[in-house]
Amino acid sequence: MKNDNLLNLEDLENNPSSRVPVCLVLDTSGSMEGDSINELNEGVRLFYDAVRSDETALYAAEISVVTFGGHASCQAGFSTLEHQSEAPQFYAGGGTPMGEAMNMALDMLEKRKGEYKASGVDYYQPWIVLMTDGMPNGSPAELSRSIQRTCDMINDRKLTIFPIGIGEDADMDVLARFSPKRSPLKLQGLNFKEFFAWLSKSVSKVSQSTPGDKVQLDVDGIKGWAEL
Amino acid sequence: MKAALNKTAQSIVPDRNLPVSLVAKPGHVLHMQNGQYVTLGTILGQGGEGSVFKTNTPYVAKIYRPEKTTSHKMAKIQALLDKRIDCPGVCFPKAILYNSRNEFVGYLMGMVEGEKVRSLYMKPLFLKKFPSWKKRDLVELCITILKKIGYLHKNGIILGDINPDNILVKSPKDVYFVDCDSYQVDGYPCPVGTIPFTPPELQKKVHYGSYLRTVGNENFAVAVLLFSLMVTGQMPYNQKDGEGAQANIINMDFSYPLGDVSNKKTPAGPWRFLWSHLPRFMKEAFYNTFSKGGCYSTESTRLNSYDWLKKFNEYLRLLDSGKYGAQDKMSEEVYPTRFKKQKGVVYVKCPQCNEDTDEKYIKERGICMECQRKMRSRRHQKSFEPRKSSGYQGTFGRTTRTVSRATPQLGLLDILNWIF
Repeated sequence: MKNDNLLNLEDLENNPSSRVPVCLVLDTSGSMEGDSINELNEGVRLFYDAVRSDETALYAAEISVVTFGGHASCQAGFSTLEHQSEAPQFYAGGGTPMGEAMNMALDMLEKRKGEYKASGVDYYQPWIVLMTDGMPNGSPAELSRSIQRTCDMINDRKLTIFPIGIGEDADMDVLARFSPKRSPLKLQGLNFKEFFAWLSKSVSKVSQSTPGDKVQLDVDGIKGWAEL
Repeated sequence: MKAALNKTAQSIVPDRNLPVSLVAKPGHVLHMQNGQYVTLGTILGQGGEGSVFKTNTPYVAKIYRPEKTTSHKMAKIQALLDKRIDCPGVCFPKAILYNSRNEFVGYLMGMVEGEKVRSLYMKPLFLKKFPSWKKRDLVELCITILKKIGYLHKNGIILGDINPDNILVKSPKDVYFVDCDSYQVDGYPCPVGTIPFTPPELQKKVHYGSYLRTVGNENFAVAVLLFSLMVTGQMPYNQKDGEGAQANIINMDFSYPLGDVSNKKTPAGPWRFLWSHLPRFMKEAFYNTFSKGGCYSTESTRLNSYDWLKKFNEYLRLLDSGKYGAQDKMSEEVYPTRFKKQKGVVYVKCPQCNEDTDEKYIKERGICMECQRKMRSRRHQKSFEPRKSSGYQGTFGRTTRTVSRATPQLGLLDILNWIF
């Protein structure tokens, strides 16, 4: 990890492209076992491939992944895909410590933003994608702390969150608490691939914009993965 | 010129949408004012404003999304047509296009080729797209761009939204300017812009489309573009441990040194080397343009495209004659890996990185200044603690394209909320 950090710092020195930080915060608890985790793996792999194949996004998007299945775990730290090998592989198991995972993601984001600033690299407003098929059962204090932090950042325009529920048991109310400005969306069936294809296109669009641009996301594309 | 400087666009009838009831598709037949027909072919590319189609003519057709056609766009295209000016590589409209219901849908323009300037900003992409380029090629590219901008300014046209996505590069002499329908022509403002290319005096204005830009305003954007090509990929106001880009522009806190004068905020990495290898007269020009109180730092004193052209011609002459390289061969490269050599200094190889370095430094420290710096930054990294959230919000808050100050972020769900 230490060497990764060094590499990521050197990358900031050598590549001045404005960064698009994206953190995937993914539920890998026991209930995701089976088709859900398989489709999630396939979706994230596709996301990595798509970002990698876009030559602007490759040098601009910094992807990180935090999972919560039993415990919060950093599967990939913020870096461009030029410096990540393959998409992480997830296994389902354990409880749903969503608050711990969100706090970990926010800590990682703060650290990386500090590094951007220290190196003189611009960055776009960060995105967090929060996906769950259940309800959080980690520490209630951590959960409310992470909700507070997330809401503060969103209200300060320092973060955009895409909260997405998977299946009938997804706690849409808790997802809504993470998203003070708008309602969370529910994934259509197990359309992870469609979602991640859409996400990669959106990341590409942002990375091809100039700081200050309003980026129009593909609204029609949302119909391919969200229950509307 | 000065009289027109800050007049508002009030004399112009406000922009309004011109609804289009038919979505253009390949195979559709459109017509021009003179009655000639044009058949749309395949789609070559799509953007936020619309799509570019092949046609059955040597030209391509830019067709707006139905909700993007406005009275100002049509008037501007007409004004550009009326001016009857021509500049190779500037993709001026050739004719207005109407659909079968006689609705304005877009315009015919020349084909474009090349890579966006944005791809020059990323070193790995630059090396892939233009592997043989030397510094002279970048300097010649600037000359080509400056000649076109100078021609437009001479004809009373302001580009308005100079940015790395609307200039395409095929070779140093072959450059294409696209999105000319946003240019400021005949009192019709340019409705778009971006923070890094907006001068300090306009940073606080609300809507890009609510005022007319002056040549003096635009000369700032020209200087930013030139800087970003010379210090390849960097913006003049990116800085380490500093404020955001917008605040730095307003404060004119330029991040690169001139002689001993420096704000000590030059971004880490090789950019200091790129800057150091510029000739003194180029550094002075940039420094005085971007620094508060500099002799070219205000709307009325900024260097114009012809002033810059003279400097770049001189730079190219120095490079092509071999004179500049004789002083330090590395100055001819796009990405130098150390500072420019100084006269009167003895150079030896650094035992760690094998770069030529000041003998005095090696005697004192054993390794060169850059290796020393890297070691320091590694030590710093080991003890790095995440900062607590400060007031810092990235070097830019995302703002809407037509608004120059921070406005609420527009995310996907906002868009959904508008629709549903």
